[in-house]
Amino acid sequence: MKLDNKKFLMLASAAAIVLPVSVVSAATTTIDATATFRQAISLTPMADMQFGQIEFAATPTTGDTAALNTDGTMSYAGNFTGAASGTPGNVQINTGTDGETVEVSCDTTATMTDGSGASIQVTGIGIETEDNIDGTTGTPCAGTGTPSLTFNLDLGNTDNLILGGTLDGSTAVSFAGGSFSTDNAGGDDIEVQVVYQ
Amino acid sequence: MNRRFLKSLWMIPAFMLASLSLVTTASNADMPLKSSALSNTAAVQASAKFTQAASISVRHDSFQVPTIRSFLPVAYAIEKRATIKINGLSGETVVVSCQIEAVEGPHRYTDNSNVNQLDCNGGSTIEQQAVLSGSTIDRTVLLTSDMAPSQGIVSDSNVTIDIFYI
Repeated sequence: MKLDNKKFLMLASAAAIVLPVSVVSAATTTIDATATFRQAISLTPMADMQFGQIEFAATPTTGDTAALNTDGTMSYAGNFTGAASGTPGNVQINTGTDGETVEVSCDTTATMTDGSGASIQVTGIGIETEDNIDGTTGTPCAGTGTPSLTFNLDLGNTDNLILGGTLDGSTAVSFAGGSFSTDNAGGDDIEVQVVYQ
Repeated sequence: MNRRFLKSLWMIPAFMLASLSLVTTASNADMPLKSSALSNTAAVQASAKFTQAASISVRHDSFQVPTIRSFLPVAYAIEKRATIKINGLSGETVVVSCQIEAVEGPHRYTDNSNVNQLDCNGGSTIEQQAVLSGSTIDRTVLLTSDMAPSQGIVSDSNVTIDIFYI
């Protein structure tokens, strides 16, 4: 009986020594580490959206609109008239990694005020890359965080984002003419956001 | 004592297996690098200047020539006095032009002081005027057409007056 215990003890000790050796060997498997470096995106507003001088024949109401297209042309309806062209908004992507997919989102509306209580909204704000501008207000913005454009970044060719929009007479409040801007007190500008997909 | 010893021996392989399992899990999985949320925002301003549109109110925008019975082609002066009102934003400058349609012969515009007498056709500029306070300007114009009327009626000759800001 004592002899049996000794044998068993020897066998068990041998097993305990052998087993850990094989387990430690499996744990030395190589682990790879990878990283992709992308240059941070930086934006610069290059041009504000300028509708220019707009003539109104009556107090603005529904149907009175002045549309500024991404190609700079303007079209009017209702009691609004004015110049044939304006300045669309322009945001430049200064830095980023070429070839990476980016998503662009923007505000759907903006509020211009005269700083004295009167206001009118820019609605139907749209956006396009510089190589896709046309006689429309652009691909409709859906609010920051909801992409309107998705494209592969190509700095030098698609790095300028052009914004259009429509002045909507139906949104006029306490309106009596004069100079209006989103930069005045109570105004709300147009925010453009670019993020890697 | 032997039982305790045996128990301790069984615990070694169990611990080893558990360790082996953990190591395997770690070695099989590539360490994912979370997508960077690198983004940026920019604000674009919008602006516009609203100006009340200039307009003209013409009290009489047409006139009728009475029937003239004449067998002689004699030049005949037809005059129409009309009052125009220029509406616009005070401080802005407007250009007024006029055109007389369906009347033959020279057409004249005369301002109320009878100083200026200009042709009035084809959209010629007849007046350049700064809109004054009150945003309206009254002008009396004399629209004259020298013509040799034929028998019959020349009527409803339209007088078109345009105005725009400069």
